[in-house]
Amino acid sequence: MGRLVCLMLALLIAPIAHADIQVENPNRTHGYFIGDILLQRVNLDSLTETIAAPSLESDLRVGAFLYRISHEEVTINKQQWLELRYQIINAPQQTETIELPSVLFVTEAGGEQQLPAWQFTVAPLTSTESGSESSPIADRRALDVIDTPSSDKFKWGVAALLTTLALWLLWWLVRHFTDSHTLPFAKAQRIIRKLPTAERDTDPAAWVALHHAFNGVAGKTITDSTQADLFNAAPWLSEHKSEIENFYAASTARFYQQNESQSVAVAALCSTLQRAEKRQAKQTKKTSVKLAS
Amino acid sequence: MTTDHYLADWREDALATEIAISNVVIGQKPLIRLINVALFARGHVLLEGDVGVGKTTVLRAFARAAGGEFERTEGTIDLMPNDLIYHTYVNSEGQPRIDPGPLLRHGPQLTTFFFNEINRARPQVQSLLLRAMAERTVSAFNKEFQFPHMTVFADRNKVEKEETFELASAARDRFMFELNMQTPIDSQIRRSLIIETAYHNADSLIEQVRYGLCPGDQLNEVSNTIQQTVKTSPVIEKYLLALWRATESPTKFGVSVEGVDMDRLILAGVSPRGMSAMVRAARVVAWLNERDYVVPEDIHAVLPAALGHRIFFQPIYELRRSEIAPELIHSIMNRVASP
Repeated sequence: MGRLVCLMLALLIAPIAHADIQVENPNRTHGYFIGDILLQRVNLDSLTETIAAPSLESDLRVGAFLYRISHEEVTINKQQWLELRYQIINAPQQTETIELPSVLFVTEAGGEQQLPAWQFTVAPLTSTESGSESSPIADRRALDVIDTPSSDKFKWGVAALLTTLALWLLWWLVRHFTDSHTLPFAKAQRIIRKLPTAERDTDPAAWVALHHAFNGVAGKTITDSTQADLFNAAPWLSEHKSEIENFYAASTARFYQQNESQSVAVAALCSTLQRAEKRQAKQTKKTSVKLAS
Repeated sequence: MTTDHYLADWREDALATEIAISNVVIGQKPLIRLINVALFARGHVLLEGDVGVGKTTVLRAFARAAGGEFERTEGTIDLMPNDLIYHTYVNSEGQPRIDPGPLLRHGPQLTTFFFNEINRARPQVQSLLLRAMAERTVSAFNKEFQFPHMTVFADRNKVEKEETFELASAARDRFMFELNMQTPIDSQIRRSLIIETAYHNADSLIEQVRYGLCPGDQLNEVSNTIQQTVKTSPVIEKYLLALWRATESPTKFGVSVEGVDMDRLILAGVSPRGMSAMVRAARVVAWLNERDYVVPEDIHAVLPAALGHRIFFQPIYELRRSEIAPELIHSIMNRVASP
């Protein structure tokens, strides 16, 4: 370093001029803690005299709290600066005011110029009173009790809602089970669904199940020529009259003529009639309730 | 001629017979259809009804349509079996003579044997008829006489019970159908029967039916062809077996009759002969309806007439037969499903 300054640490504060030295000190406002790095810059061009070769030591512990990590000369905006880096290496029990040490610059002419010490505060990371009852640390302190309305009503409400849902589900399951075991087309559909999907329109069991459903609805055995009895007993089937007639015609050909050329979508027909049956059951229930009231 | 054409020609004759007889005996079309069915199924018919409803007229009309030789016997309390086989007399030369009775007189040419008021005849006479009806043979004079084309038509009135003999179950089982002939309900028909003079003379009415319209001596052959041509599918066979079981154990099929303890009703179900008679008749119905396969409707058409008199009730219910039997048959048809 060509024009380096000779720096000397001086513990003694001599009556030396220092007013015209330009310094940039650390500018944090809320104080420092252990581990923080403090950077102090001295504008060398602001010195009135040329400074002699430096003899400033790095890696030097300065007092109980500081450690000087490095010093180096840098050029910023065509001006020469000396950067001094300190690290706080100790934590006080309580907030304390300490200072960066003063630095004595020796000029080539034998004069001296002194950088004054700079004060700042260092605080402990945690309170020294931690664990005491009067001021426990945040994570050990009892939770604040907030005066809010009782949650019992909410709990009862939720319990009532869940009970209602459970009862509704139970009722639905019972009704579904009862319907599928009592309503003729639901019974037929249960039988058909047990068959392999590919055979649901061709398996004789599916056809027989649907025949039995028609018999069940009419309350008697229905044949091709007695379909009128079916529609008299269950007028709600009239809207599917053509499909039912087709089914009976195909069934006669299949079971008695032994001609299986006519195909019928038995599973789909049963499903359609099961839905109609369900609607009819609801309608009947509503009507009976009205009559009862 | 193919079988189809052969049967189609005969169907025309059968339907023509029905029409012809329906013109003679008005208001009885269902009954006439059943008698026609029995004729082509080679079954015998017992006709029951009130006095003067036309039982004899309708049976005579069928006998005329069947052509061939016709014999008629009136049931009386003193009629003996021998009276049907032969009768004895002293001829003009003072010699004792034995002539064949009504049953043997025409030999194999006998087509129709009409037994009027059969329930007035003694059980001995009825027993003679058992074999004649079932086997179409009679033994007499150390010889067996055959009547291969014979159809027995019998009637009985249901009004009088005095000096009558109820037919034994075995005798009733020989009849393919037991039919009940009712007085017509329709007012127009009733008016015709009493006002129009054409219906006052039974003989002239019967003469309107062409003699031999359905030749009786050919019925065995056509009947066999019908029975061999008209098929019963496995589903129908299963249905027939279910019907048979239902006549034996109605409760197993949910069959019920109001006011009757069903577990104590049946003494004996229908006999195999009864069921086979019904199937034969059902095939004829299918044939008349231009089908070569039997459907449940064919069976339903003949079931009451074929089975009604073949289900035997416990004595306590037998007295109510006329009331219970139709309801039971109706319930069986409604409860036993096919397929």
